[in-house]
Amino acid sequence: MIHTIYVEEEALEYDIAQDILKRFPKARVIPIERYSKVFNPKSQSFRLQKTEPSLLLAVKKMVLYYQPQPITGSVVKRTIIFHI
Amino acid sequence: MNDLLSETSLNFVVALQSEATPLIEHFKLKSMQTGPFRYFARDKVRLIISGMGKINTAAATAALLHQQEFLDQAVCINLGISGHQSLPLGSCYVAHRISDSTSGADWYPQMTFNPDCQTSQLCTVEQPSSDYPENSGLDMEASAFYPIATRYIASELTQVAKVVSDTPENSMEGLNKHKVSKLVSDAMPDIIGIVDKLCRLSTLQYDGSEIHQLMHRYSDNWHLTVTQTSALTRLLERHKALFKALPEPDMFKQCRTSKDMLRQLNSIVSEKGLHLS
Repeated sequence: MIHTIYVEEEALEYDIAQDILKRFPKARVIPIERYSKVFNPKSQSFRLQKTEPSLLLAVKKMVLYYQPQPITGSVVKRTIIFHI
Repeated sequence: MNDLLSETSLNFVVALQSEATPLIEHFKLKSMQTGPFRYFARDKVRLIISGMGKINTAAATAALLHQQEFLDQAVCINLGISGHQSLPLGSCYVAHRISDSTSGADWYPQMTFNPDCQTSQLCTVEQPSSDYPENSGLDMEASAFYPIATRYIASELTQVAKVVSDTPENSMEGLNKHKVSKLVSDAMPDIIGIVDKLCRLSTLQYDGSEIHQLMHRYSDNWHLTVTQTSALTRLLERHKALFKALPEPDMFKQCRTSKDMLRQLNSIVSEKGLHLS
């Protein structure tokens, strides 16, 4: 049974997120800005986590290209590589 | 509960004496005259009074936990009073999000123990304030306590529990030490519920204290490098899993060097280990 659901604020707008939340009406819903603040934190105990797993609803952010960087000194190499 | 307390190291960080008094009475703690903070203990239950504010709390948390050697199964709770925008006066809650008003940083304590009481976000401020954020608690310690305590203890076993002492309708002006003690005292059933659940959870945590203690005896007999120390820890864990017992250092007394000892221990473990063919 899921007791805690972490939801990215952005994910709340999606129908699929609302459907999932409806399936767990008694769960504690905790809004978060970004999943990485909750997922795999330092000093997490894997053994304890498995006793009562939580659900984490996040939006997949697709980065298809990198924004062109200003070509100066140290960033030249990186910019060229990413734009090939 | 008493059985659990004999197994689990239970640590409280509390800002004020008036907040601590109900806990001291409940757990029958005795004052220990050590260090710059007021400190109470009995068996495996420890309580430190930090004083108000983030710097005091961070220092007290480190002082409390740094003196303990084995914290694998330890529980640490920051308990105290706080303001709250929406929860009723006197109610007890656990913080599921702690944010720091100064730095903007935030932390999400793991709700693995599934508390029976309510949970809420909690904002830590520098000075007492009556400007309550929406659906949030307001305190002066949590954001200093949590990141320090999780350096020592698993994040699932590090929690912040607060009792609502003031709300937009009930200002903090009338608060005194007797009222604070009464608020915490009235919330003791909820607090004990939280402690009980955390102690139960902690018993599921891997207890490496036996191996840690044995490691000291090995290092008395042989000089171990950092790499050899971690190799020995792994081998001892494997030995315990395979033989249900740990090898005494005397078993390897004929080994002159740590390298020989590790080689021999490794051969014992490998011989018994699982072989998939």
